[in-house]
Amino acid sequence: MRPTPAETIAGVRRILRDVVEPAVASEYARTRLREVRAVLAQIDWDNAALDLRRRVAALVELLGEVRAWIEADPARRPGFGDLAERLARLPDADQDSFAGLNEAHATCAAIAADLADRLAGWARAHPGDGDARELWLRLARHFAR
Amino acid sequence: MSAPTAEPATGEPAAADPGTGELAAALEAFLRSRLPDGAEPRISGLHRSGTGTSRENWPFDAVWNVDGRPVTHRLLMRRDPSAGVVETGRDAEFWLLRRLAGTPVPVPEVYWLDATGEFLHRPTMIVKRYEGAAHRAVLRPADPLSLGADGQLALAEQICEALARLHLVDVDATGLRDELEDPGPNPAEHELDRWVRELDAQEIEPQPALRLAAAWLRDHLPPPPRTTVLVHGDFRPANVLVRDGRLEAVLDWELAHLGDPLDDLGWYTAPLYAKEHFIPGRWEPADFLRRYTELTGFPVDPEALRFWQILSTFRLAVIALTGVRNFCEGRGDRPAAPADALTRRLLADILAAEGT
Repeated sequence: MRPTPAETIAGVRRILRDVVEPAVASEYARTRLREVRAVLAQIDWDNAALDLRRRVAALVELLGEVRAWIEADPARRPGFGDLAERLARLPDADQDSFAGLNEAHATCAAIAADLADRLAGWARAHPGDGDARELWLRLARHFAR
Repeated sequence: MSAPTAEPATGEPAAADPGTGELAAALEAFLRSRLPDGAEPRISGLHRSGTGTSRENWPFDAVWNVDGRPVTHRLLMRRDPSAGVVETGRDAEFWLLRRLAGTPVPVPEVYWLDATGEFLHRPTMIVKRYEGAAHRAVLRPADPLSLGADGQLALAEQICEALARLHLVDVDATGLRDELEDPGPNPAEHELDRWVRELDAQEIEPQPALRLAAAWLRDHLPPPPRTTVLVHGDFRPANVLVRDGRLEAVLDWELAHLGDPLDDLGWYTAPLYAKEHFIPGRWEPADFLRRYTELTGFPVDPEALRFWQILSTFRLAVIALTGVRNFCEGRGDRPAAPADALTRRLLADILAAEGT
């Protein structure tokens, strides 16, 4: 496939810089044009969908570990409300469109966001639960990658 | 600050940006409404500058009669954008700058306010336009304002001194305590609540990394400060106007609020900005903090500072998400990419604070 998405964007950025920008009289429009070029350069266009798939798969795996952690101790389940049920219905990372992948990612992210709040509440209520801290650190490391 | 500089009229034609003619006419009518009879204001050179994220900046010259003689004034119209990345009180910045005019803090001189946008379509204020330049990389090796190594060091020290003067402003004597929102018993909690509310309002998809960060911040609130001060809220070299190598004015006050002095210090010393805010080997964060404490007498607790540094990155990520929302909803004219790099950095900083 030529041009690749990245080649297309790189070519468009070059034309914006070499052809369009010199002809733009407004200082304000020139500044916005430079921002547009910079934003276009921030995306890995060839691998955006592949990267999203990797992120969904990694998040599904992580949330699977969280489900196992909640179910490992009967006392935990009430503290996490309906999260265990939602964790049992995680989407599949094997989607055949970007939209499907993005929806799967949003579903997982919503569960993870809810988990972040509930886990913090659990850790405050159970300061002796060292496993909760380890899980929190595992989540933080995941999102720091 | 001195009165506006009187200069001969230049008679430059107005720029031809779309909508500029209509805005120029509205601006002229606004000035007429604010000036004495017979002033007959005429404006020229109105154009939108490339700077300004949370306000539109429109430089222009205005000529009006003073004692029967036409005098040119260099002015700047600061107007609310159609879609901003921070929501602030429309007239708060104007009244804040008025209150600061009699203090040692170098602030731009403000003239008039159209608080509701009655004349200028959106809330707007008119301020004096100064000579000089502001550049976010002013302290970096590229030296974009050609200050030289010693000049950069001198400016870095002046920036610290300006912050110290700001934090020493008497918020009661200036009336600022009555003007600005009370941060309550703990400004750290107040600010965290504010930016979590902003996250709730602005996220267009769930943000688990920011929720983890918010929970960490909630569990690491520092104790309240001994003194509540005026916090600039975006204090950094990019918001310092430099003229002839010296700090002329501190700009962009739309995020100013009452709070903990460590709020500004955390923003300034956050590792994310180290390359822009310090000079390796000559002006390190420790130099900045030592000088600040010498000038203010305010101690800096490292653990509390770390909270404010991490809250600064959290706040920046939320602001970036506001830009993403505006972009995805077709509002405003600033392009935006995903804010993932910022959230990754935020979590990395938290993990470092946890010693892992």
